[in-house]
Amino acid sequence: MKHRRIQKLLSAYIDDELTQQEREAIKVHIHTCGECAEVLSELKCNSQRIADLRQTAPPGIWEVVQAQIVSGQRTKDRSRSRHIRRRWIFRPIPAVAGTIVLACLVLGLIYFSPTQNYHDDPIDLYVAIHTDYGMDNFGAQYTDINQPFEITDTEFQEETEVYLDAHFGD
Amino acid sequence: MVSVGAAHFISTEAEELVDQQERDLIEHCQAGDAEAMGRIVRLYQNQVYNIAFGMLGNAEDAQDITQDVFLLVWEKIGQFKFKSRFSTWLYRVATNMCINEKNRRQRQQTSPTEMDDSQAWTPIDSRTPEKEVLLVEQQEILHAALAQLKHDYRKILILREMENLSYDELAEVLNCSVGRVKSRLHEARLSLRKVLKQKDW
Repeated sequence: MKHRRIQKLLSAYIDDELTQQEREAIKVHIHTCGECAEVLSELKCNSQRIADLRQTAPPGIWEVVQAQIVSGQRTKDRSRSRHIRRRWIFRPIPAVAGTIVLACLVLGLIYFSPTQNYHDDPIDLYVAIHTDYGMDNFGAQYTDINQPFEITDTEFQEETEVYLDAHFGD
Repeated sequence: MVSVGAAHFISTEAEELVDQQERDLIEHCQAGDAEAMGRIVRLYQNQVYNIAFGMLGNAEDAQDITQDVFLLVWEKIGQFKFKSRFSTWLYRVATNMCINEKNRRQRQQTSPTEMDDSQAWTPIDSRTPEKEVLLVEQQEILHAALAQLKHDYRKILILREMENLSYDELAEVLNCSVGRVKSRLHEARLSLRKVLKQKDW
């Protein structure tokens, strides 16, 4: 092998990454070539010097990493709980306001319930009981003063008269 | 637990055991087990610290970067799919972080900043044994020489000489062919030799 080719293989020779044949060729060459022998010994020496720079890591690396990992998790936990608290149901003021509004709605519904109307006026109750009409239907017709109120059903008419006599007659 | 770095020197069976233990540890980490991460850190902290020290050239920065590397590993461990050795994945993360840090500093240095003279010059303690002083000086010269090399050269030298990575492992970390590793490593060594010669070493 030629000198230049040998020189290129010196690193791999140091690292024992050559074929048997290449290794032998280099061994033979450096016996006769002072330059290659010098480069080889210098490269070996420098490699050892870098290897000698090795140190043990200072203590406490894991402790610092762990603290950051844990604090990272804590931030995650905190943000999660913040998220929960952010939901309105867990905040006191909206919760109370919500309850009041809900109570008003329920009470209002009970108080202004249409069923109450049936009992307000006896005639409404009567009509509601004795007709197939819903209160709304009948009421709409009944309360329209511009339209003459005609009762076509004779039976209903008679009954109405009886009812009116009973309640409002002299 | 046997150090993974030492696995090359023991039997294949033991190596497989170490691999399996390491796999278990990584899977635990991926499931969020901080205790397992602690074991990974203790297993690899010297290797990562030495890479950082070699790349950045000073102990304080090396310690900071080592911590950052492990924090990043904890965050990204879910992305490790066991397609390569964990060590090569870790070394890639470590060297990349060091280069990023180095680049960041260089950018900062190019902007005009005041000279830092807050710390007074302190003479070396006369009680320190001479040999130790010499050793520290030699290490400083070597670090300075390494700092003068291209990132690629410094990286391959540190991984080879300090971490004792095989050419196959180097190819994996550097993401290139074994042939490229061979030539680049030789160029790197010649380059370091040249720099050290300039320093009369």
